[in-house]
Amino acid sequence: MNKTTQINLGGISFSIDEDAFRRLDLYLHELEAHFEYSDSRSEIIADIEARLAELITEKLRGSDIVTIKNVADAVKIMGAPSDIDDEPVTDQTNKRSNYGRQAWDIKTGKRLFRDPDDKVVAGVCSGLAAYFGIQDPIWVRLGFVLASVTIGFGLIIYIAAWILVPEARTAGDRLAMMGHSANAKNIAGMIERGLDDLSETIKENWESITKKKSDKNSRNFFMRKSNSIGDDVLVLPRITVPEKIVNSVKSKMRSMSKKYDDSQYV
Amino acid sequence: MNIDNMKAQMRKGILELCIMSIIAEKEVYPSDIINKLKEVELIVVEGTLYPLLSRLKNAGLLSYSWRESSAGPPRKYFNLTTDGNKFLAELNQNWSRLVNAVNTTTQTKRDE
Repeated sequence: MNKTTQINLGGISFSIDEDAFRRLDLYLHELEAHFEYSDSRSEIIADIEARLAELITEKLRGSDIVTIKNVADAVKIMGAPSDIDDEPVTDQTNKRSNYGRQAWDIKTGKRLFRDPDDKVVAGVCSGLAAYFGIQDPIWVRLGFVLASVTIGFGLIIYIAAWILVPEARTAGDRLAMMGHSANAKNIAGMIERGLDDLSETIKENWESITKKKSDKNSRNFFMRKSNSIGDDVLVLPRITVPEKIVNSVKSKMRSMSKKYDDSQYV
Repeated sequence: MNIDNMKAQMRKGILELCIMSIIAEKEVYPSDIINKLKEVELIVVEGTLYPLLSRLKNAGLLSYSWRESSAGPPRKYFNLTTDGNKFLAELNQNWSRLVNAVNTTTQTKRDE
């Protein structure tokens, strides 16, 4: 037994198995990530969707439900995002070549960066936490504070790390920081998380406006914001959005797009 | 030097010329173009066509109109614009010159 979903692909309605749906959804997300810098991204993807619908219809031949095989066949004909490229061909073998730039592509291990998105001072602690796989950077932060108070050179180490460790500026940097390689799936995942961040930002600002007077001091210096999105986050009443929220969302958007600027598609 | 890469580059260089020639012959929708290109093995994965079409369209060389189809949703039918026709004429000219050049040089070698 398999659960089916109803979808509209390129203007044609399909009943599709759930696993087939996930496969198709992943492919379309990969394409979106691949054409991120194209002004005609939505047009290209709409055209591809229309063609996929056509290919799947041809394959169905009377059968009612789209299976994962139908999707896989259509996707194979359309091609992997990395094979779809209208830019001049670059050396396909560069993964094995010795060009300096490609060294970065091969390296899938973690790298130490400062995390500008989760910082109290300069992101050194959250970068270290990511590097050593510590779930919550609060422990690293506490360690530094303790080292500063008790033996005294925690602060010096921190400042040295601030100077020496680069900030994770691009999507590729961030993936290297987390120990993932920069492929379409990972970058697409980052975009999704970015959108979660965005709703978090809206929530935070909303709260800061509505609860301005109350519990101002309950947010301790090192207290981390909750990761779970509260029940009432996006159920905003119909009102004019205050300028503060608009600006903060805009700046978040800018930092997001900047983050992906130099990201490298492998 | 990678031979596959070299072949791919050669193919990519003439893809625009071929696509525009197909469109110049008669109004077509993308799947028609794909079928023709596949027949002659000029295209490996179909997805390559769409960014190319959109690029040519944005450059003002192609235009399209939506047409109803008997089998399914409306389709985008592509046409060459006036600029597109001029562009294609120039590409064709250049192609003939290249063919000449390649023939001349490769045949000289063979004759030696």
